[in-house]
Amino acid sequence: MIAPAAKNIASAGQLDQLRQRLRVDAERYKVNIAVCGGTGCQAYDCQAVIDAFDQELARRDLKDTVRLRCTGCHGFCERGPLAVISPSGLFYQQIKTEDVPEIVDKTIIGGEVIERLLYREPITKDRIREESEVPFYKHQQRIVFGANGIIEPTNIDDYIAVGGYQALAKVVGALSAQEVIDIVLRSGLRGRGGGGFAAGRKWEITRDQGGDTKYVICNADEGDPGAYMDRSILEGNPHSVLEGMLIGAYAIGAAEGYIYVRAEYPLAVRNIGVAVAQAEEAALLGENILGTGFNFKVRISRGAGAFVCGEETALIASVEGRLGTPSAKPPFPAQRGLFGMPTNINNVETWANVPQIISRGADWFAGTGTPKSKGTKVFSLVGKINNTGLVEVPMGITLREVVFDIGGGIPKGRKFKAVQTGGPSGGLIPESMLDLPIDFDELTGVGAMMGSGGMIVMDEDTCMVDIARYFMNFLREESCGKCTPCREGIKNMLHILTRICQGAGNEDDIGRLEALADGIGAAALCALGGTAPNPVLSSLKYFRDEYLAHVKEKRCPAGVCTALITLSIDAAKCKGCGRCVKVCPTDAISGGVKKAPAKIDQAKCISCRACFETCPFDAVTIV
Amino acid sequence: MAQITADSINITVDGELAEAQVGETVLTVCRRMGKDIPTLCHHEGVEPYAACRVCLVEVTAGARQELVPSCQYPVSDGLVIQTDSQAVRDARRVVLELLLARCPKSDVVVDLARRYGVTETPYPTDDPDETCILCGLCVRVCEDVLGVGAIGFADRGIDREVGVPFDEASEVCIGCGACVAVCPTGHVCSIDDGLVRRMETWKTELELEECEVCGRPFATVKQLDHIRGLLPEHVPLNRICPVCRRSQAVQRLSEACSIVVDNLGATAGQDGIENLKSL
Repeated sequence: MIAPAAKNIASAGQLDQLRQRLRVDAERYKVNIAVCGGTGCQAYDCQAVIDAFDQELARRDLKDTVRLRCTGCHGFCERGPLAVISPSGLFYQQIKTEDVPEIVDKTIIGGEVIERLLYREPITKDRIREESEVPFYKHQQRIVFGANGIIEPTNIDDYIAVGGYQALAKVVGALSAQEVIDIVLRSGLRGRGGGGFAAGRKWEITRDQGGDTKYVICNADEGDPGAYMDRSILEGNPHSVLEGMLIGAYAIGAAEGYIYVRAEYPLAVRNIGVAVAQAEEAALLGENILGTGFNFKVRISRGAGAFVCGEETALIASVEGRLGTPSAKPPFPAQRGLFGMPTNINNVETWANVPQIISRGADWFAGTGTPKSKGTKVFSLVGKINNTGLVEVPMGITLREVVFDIGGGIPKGRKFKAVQTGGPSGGLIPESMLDLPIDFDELTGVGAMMGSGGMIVMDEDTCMVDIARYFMNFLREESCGKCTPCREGIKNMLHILTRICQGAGNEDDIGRLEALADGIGAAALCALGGTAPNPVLSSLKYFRDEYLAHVKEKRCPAGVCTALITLSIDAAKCKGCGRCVKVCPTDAISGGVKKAPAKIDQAKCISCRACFETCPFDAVTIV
Repeated sequence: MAQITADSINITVDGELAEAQVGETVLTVCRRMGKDIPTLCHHEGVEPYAACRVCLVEVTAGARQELVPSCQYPVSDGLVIQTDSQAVRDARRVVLELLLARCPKSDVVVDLARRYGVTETPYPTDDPDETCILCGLCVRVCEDVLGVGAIGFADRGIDREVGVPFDEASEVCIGCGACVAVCPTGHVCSIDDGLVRRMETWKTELELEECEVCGRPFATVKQLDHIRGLLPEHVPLNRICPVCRRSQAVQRLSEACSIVVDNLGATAGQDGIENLKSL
């Protein structure tokens, strides 16, 4: 790691000089290699690839002309480890350590393209050379994630070189607090954490409270299953969040801020910690920032990973060292928040949008999106989808475009069934609504919600009753237990759903489930409880026939609920490869050797579906 | 009726106009008006908690209509409140069905549920002997009011429970019994047995002190020490039971009165004394 040059920047002029110097310095590198170091790629051991590059560049004495960076998440997690080689912007994917000497030799030195490392479009089979031409990226609009693949998150110089902290300089040097709020209001920025409240309005309310002590908080307690947008921003571009908080603090009149991040995000915790330390060294955090008299310091508060602590009042309790349970609003945190003082809480993605809005203007930001939802939204596209990864799309894009054009559709040629947005508090959206534009109000209107941006795609082999049961189980684990409807109600919703999945449900259960869900939604204390029934209500609304099949016919149409399915092997399709025999945990399958078809002993079968998932010939059928 | 001051605001409760003070809760105003709003986790002496959800009322503020906990929700000018709308009754009924499934033997829960037409619950009961509704009053009075913090919540969600750390006898509990007094269902209990107070729910035993006057055990040694610690040094703490303290107070008062009467007699003459006696 190169030690940052950014130290004790005393004025906007010095910041500008530093930026220009860094740009000149960067020109001595003829080639830049940006290897994705996001959590997804870390799981593919991208560190080994980075180390291999480092060694190879050292061995060939190229370290003075080739700059190797371990960047934040590039988004296309499905294809990691990834690297972008500039200036040509060549995009290599699924890189192995043994490919590295060849890349250095052929591409870096020889200027050749290694065809096999290029992304291949699955339908046309064309090899695509540049990242921006890959369909996964082509339909995206990367504002928040723009710099993620370019900069090294652990070096503040990289952020400054791409124009970082220029928005802060503009704000503290030339704008009044009200002017900043007006810009944010005009941009139409709404909170990306789930509620979608107008960010500028929230700032204004906090600013207008009496008293001298106010706080800003960055909510990085991302807890939805499958969601990792905020994590990747903190990991990949932590200074954009700090800059957003600085601007917010200036507008609100806060001198202190907290970043509440879950300890299960070790890389995010590390990178934001490094960023805070480097920003302090650079005097961009602390006293008399850029010589303007504005003071702001940031502390990092690590959460123990409770889903409910993403709720503002529970988060505040946790930061204060109290039990992380929500309290009733009003008073809102803007009125009485951290340590009893007016507090403005925005999530990571919201803060990261702020410097862009200041730099490029409210009109530029409002130029993207729908009438009431402006800008872009980052989603983590997961589940039964070809291109798993992080996508940043303009508001107003349809779900169909996200799932099919960016996501590349459903694996194994299976049929799309539903998409779950907003995590466990969100709803299931059926195929008939795929042309719905992504917008805070449109999603809420169909019983789902934007949430923080989890998007779980489900195929025809997903049972909607089972999915509702899965989410209720998650929420049962994560309910804090303070209020009666959430604590007792979710338990009983889960109880009913489990009964239905086990084939022991009856038609009355559906009505009971609906009544209970409505009751919990109306009576729960916080947003977690209030939205907990959404998966149940939306699945009942759009997939009622599946519930009815479970209770009336004792049949699971998707072939998932083990108590309701029978597996058998189609002798005509079975090639006798024996894979199913090996995976069966109860030795229920006989035959399957020497090309003789396998057979399932129903008395021993526990319907675990291991054979179904394993069979390469689709010979296992589920009835 | 609330005193009308500069901070008075107007609200509407069940169609009836009412005066309220800024800072008051909906529950306070409604109860003053004689409205019947049930509560379980609420106690006048403890900060509102808004957890049991039986005190929900429907409020309309602007275009928004929602169910809010009356125990905690502050009144604001023009607020329209319905204490017994269909939505309120439906929500209370769901909450009471859930509580009845949790605590089928709790008289308080059973009686309240019956008032809302809930005589049986569609939901299963895990522990038929459960009497704790997790209102948290014991925890809150111990920590927030007394500053002792001997008990707390353990675990979360449906596994949440109140108890002493590690489920072992508390070294912190002073045995004051405030938790017993505020518990709405009788789940928290204690027994005085000779010179020992057994905080049954908290698995903790404490030594009782005998009254300096009558000799009856009346408070735990730890509670008296705790009070001693709260008092300024020059203020004496007599270790006397409430009954004896009361009779001592009466004694002192009557002595003081007779001195006053005697003094008056010296200055106001016999007539004055007769007048005083006739009062």
